[in-house]
Amino acid sequence: MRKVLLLVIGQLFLLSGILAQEKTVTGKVTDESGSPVANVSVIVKGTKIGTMTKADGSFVINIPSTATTLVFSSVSYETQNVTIGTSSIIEVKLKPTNNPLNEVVVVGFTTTRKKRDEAGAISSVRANQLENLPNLSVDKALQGKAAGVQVQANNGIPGGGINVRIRGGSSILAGVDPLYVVDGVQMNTRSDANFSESNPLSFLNPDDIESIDIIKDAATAAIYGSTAANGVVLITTKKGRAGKTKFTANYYTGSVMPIKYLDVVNGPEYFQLRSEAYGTTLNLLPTDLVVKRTVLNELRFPGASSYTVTQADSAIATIPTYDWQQAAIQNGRISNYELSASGGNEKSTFRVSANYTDQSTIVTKADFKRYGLKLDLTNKATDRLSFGLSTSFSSFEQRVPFAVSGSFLGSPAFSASGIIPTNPIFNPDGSYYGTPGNTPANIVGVLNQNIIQVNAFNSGFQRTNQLVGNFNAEYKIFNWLSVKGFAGIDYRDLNGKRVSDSRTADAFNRKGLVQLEHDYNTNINTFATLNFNRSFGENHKVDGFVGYEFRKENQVNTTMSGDGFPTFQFIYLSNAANPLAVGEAFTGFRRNALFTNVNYAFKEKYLVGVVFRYDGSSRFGSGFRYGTFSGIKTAWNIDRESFLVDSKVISSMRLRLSYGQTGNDQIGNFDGLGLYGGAGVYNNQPGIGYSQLENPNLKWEQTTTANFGIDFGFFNSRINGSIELYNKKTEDLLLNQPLQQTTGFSSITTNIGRLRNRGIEVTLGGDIFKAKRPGDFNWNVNLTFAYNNQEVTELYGGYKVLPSDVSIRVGEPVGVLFTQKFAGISPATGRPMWYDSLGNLTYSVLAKDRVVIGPTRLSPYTGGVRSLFKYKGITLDLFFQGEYGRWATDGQVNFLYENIGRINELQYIYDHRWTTPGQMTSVARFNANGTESKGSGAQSGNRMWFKADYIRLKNVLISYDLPAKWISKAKITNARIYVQATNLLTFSDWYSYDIEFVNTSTGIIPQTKNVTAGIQLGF
Amino acid sequence: MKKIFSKYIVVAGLIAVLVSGCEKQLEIAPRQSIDATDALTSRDAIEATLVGIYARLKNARIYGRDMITHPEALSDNGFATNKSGRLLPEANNNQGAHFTTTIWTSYFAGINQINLVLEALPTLTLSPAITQIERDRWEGQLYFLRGLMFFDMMRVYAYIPGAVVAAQDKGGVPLSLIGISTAEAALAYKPIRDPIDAVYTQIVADLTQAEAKLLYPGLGVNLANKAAAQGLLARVSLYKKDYTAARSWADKCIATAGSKMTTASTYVANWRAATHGETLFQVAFATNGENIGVNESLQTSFTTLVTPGNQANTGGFGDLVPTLTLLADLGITLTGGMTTANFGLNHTIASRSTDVRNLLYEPGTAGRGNIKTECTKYIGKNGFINLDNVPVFRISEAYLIRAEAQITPGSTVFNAGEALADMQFLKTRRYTDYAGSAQQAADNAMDAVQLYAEILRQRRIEFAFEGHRFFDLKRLGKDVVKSPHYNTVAFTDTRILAPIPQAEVDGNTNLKQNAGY
Repeated sequence: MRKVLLLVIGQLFLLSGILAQEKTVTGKVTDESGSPVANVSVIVKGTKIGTMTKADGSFVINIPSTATTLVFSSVSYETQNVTIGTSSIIEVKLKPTNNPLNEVVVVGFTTTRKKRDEAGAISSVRANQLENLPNLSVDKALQGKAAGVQVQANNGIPGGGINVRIRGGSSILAGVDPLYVVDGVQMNTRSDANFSESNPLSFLNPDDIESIDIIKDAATAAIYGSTAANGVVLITTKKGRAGKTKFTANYYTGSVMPIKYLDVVNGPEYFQLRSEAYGTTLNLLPTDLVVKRTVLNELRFPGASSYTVTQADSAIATIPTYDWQQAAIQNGRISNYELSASGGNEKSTFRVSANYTDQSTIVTKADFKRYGLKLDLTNKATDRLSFGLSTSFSSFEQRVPFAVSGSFLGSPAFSASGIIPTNPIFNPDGSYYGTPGNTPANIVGVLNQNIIQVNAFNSGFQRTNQLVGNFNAEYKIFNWLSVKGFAGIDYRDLNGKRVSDSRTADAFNRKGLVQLEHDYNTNINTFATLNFNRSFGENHKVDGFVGYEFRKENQVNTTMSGDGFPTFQFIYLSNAANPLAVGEAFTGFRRNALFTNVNYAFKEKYLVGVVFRYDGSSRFGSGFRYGTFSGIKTAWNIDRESFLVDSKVISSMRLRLSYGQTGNDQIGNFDGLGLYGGAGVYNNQPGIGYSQLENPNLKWEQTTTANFGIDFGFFNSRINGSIELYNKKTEDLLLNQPLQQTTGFSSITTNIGRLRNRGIEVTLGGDIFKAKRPGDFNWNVNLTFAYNNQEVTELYGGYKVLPSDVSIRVGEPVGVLFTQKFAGISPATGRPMWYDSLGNLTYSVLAKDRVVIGPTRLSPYTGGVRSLFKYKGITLDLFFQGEYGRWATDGQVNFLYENIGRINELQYIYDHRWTTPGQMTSVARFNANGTESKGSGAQSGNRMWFKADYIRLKNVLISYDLPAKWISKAKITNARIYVQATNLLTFSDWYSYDIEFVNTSTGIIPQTKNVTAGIQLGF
Repeated sequence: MKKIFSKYIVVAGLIAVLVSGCEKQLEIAPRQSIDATDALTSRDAIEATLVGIYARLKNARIYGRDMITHPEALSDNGFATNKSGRLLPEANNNQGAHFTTTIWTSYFAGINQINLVLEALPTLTLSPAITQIERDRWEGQLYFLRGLMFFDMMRVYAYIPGAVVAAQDKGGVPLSLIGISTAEAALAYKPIRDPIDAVYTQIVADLTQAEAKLLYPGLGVNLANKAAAQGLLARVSLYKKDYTAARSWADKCIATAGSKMTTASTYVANWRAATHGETLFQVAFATNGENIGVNESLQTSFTTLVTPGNQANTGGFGDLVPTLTLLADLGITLTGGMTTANFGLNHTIASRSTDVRNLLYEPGTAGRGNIKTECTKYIGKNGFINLDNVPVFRISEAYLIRAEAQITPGSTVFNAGEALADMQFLKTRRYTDYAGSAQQAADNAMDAVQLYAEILRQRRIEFAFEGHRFFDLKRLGKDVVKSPHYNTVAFTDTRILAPIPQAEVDGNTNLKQNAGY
């Protein structure tokens, strides 16, 4: 790759040339308030002759004597045409634009285009929609802000993982994550952490982001070919602007609180439930002395085995209740400090920023501290050569929780709600109750660890150092042609350690356990493009780029562990008596491609764009490494037609149509190879085995999308919006085709099947009350809505169902719930019942009784509403977000829904359990064996699946901008104080902590409710 | 114009340079795996592949746990305490709670690996050349492992010859005997379930080959050896009701192994050593890195104790404990009486018989709930908690096979006298006072029916918590009588057979799922 870089740089210096001009005009450009505006493009109409304004708004331009009009244009202002009179000095005042079509969007490889000129489907999110949200990474902030972009949480751990789906995801086996590109660097989004969650985007402070452009249509995304099938998220960070150096300081702090505690039963109620459970299995009344003795004995009442009736009853009267949830789940804190400076002159600009964030959550030992530095530089070395550097370094430190998820007895997140409530937390002397080596050595029940002690004594950390940066250079060969070189890096180094303390139950008998992990990931991106932009006469304009890119990624992971430590104070592996395991793993991939994007516009009315990419990936069979992806897109700017140009009603209107292909190679790096790998050890010898069959025919998965879009603005853009319709078909679906296990292999990765996503996306915004003057009352509402319908349309070999996975079925969305239907509780016996294949009631379900219930992965309907009130300096921003149509279950609460009483139970279960014949209810009778004889488990079928519909007040912000007259004396240009709350209100029937989770949320640390207050200063 | 032209050339040249070597840029190879095509071309690779096959046996779904726990839980030996909830569905014989599909998937992967090595060996030329000793050692182990794997799968997924519910018989398992190493071959392979008898014939053929090639003691009891092959042949023959062969292989096994039987005074100590002295073949767990851990090891499954006799220190869950009927057969009486109500409370032992085997059962800790009488055959014998070698064949089984083969009604080698002699040989090594006892006198007075029952009872006691009981009841076509704890499962009940992996049936119409699933 060194070769590429040298060549690019060499070219930039080699080439030079200046074209001659004739007459000179000077002037100044200001905004409505009279402040100078830099970087306004000043162009002689009908030519390519132009310049940019400097930091003080001034410009100098040499024009041909034939020139009549100058065109002044800038991103956030309305374009103005100014007639050149006899004067050689021109003063211009620009009006801010409110037409979103005048905004600029990134279309790939750091090339930007005006939205009006672009025919693709691109959603944009601007800085003001992201600022000051207490999110550690930007993916979380996207929720509900762009139509068709779904964000789900895996976990509430600060800095937790990403789960963003654009238009439903287009694959089954291959990844469904979109491609993230930060200032041109294609990010690695894999999480490599073992001990806590790790989010590869949390290196970037969301407040450093200028804009996010989300490419949804394939014709535009095809420029990223292989990685773009699930959409592309292009993140542009804030850069310096010419002018006086501006400083901003920002601080916020606040509380992190549980969204809710689970309502579980108290000690006496638990005793009652457990008695009923034993009553059923022993075939006795729950009030029988044998039952009372059994349960009291289990709860460790001394001598309970031989209690008389009186003794038992007086013991029952003393059953205590302790609240473990309150002890384990507490409020956390969040603090964020930021400082930035930006400025520069017409030659050079810079922006430097630093941030420190410290966030803890409701379960201790899961927190996040980030130290971030960011530096952006640009320089115009000559009129033709410019270059820049953009780097971001961050170091984050997380203390590790007991487990990220799962049913671990010692995990506070899992066990807090389920511990039998008769267990004390502390001994009378203040020491922890029920810990190993003491009496008693544990607490009563299956969840027998004192989680408060475990959490206090265990330790561990995860430290991530991440560097993301790029060097870029641009050389203008001609005014209409430039060459760009780009070299980017995304380097991540992660160290993790977990200490299971020798005083805790899991490590007591092994005298402590220490596990270490080290992981580094090097992801190199380079590209070179030739960009052109040329008009031919008044009517014809061609722009675009052609380029080449190379990307490589290497990842190495090492792990080691040991146990047997002298005392609990020793937590370094050198002190371990027994080295347990070592591991080292390597993986990586390579990609390269040639690509081009050419756009043609006729009279700025009719646009057509073509994208083509020839793409290579190391992940495929040798004959199928290269794929070709292309797209075509057209747009008709109707508002430029003579019949609309003067319309008072329609201020903008355009139609877009695009058709294109993207690919997907998000499979294992070596899935196509025939391999022998490590196969365990036996008798102190290392083993190997045939681990994977070769598939030399493995090739690209292809997604073809047709997209129809309409953008509109009414009443001088007071109302504007867009509607997108799409049909997205995926072919050569990458799938693990199940093999007969009798072959010795379970599956082979291959291309078989088709998938379709189609839907509609609506974005609508407008001022319901429009301020007449700045400072008057203004109410702006912005709405996004999306409907996506996903369907597997074909599987290999004519199968209607994937043999190894019944949730993949032709005609249904991926991950559809296919199981037996719960029919309620038999009033006669209290036993759970289901419908069998004939529609009759049965106690015991069979495979053939399963039916399709509904989608589980993604809700078909999603949306968000943002309502922004402004009056004087006061802003109230309310953001609601919701989903409809998905089924979900929750592993955590399903444990508390058991009808056994081996752990604590939900109050709902207590209140609704079946106790007497004839009772109509929804909860089965208690049974210590869990399952009735010759019956299916009480949670079989769809018993524990519920509709996951919700509306959530995701964010509320109240801010106040101090009036200029108060602060100007202190040389402060703006000062804002604000209060912000997230997840404040949720409207749903959901039975567990948090409806937003996907997958089974057993033992996860749930999302939280955050309230923060802050101050932002600019000077 | 000339200048502009030269710029185009430079730009074109630049792109040409970038594009050249495109293919090469995509080269990257995995580093902890090797290409399959030249994997089996060295001594080390053959040895390592063998190790990989043995390592499959350690899986918690195979001999690591399920092959030992489930025959106890599914039969009348095991009561599930619900301390972690594990093994409760199996003890309750819930529909679908059975051996899992891992035995099928892992064993067939092992069998394919064996087939590939067996096919590679004849044409493999190494320097120095492969000796006959080496060839026999490799092939002997490969045939032994293939025989064992087919036999285990047949015990789990199919009926046993002579004890078949014909209406529910869907055959044995597919006899995969040809190695598969290409995607084409794998995609085309849609086997049927071969008839039960055909698979047993193959098992005998494999083990017979192994027996001929292996040596004793060979490479020790952690690996395949001649005596183990003979013992397994005796067991397979007994299962398929070939009593002549069962007696003959038991004879050979006893002759090869020599005096391995422990005595009443050394019996318990042998269960505390890493390797039991009677073992002919065991699945070895050599290092603590192989530990299955606190959730699913055999120690945690069977006992809460960390060390025998120390009720103060709680380790595992003690999920499966002896039933009242097994305790009775073991000669253990609980304080408070042998009732289910009393069984539900904390256990203390009122009295024990003179059978030393019951010394491996004792009250556990209170750490996981009510104290139960627990089996301590797996108690961290290998030096670490939850780390135990798992005996697959002990020499005492050869005596019990020979006794049963000669007392089973209608046996071709019926000989009550020799059966009694073998049983008494065992009993003198298990009861501290057998010689001259009333029990001995009673045994001597038994008729053939009584003696047959007593030999089967001795088998239950001898191999309790070693993974035999369910298969023994199954091969004899007996109902699983689980009172007073659970309902009886009739031999004709579909829950006698484990389901074969549903995905296999869904993907291959030639393959029939067992009845009831």
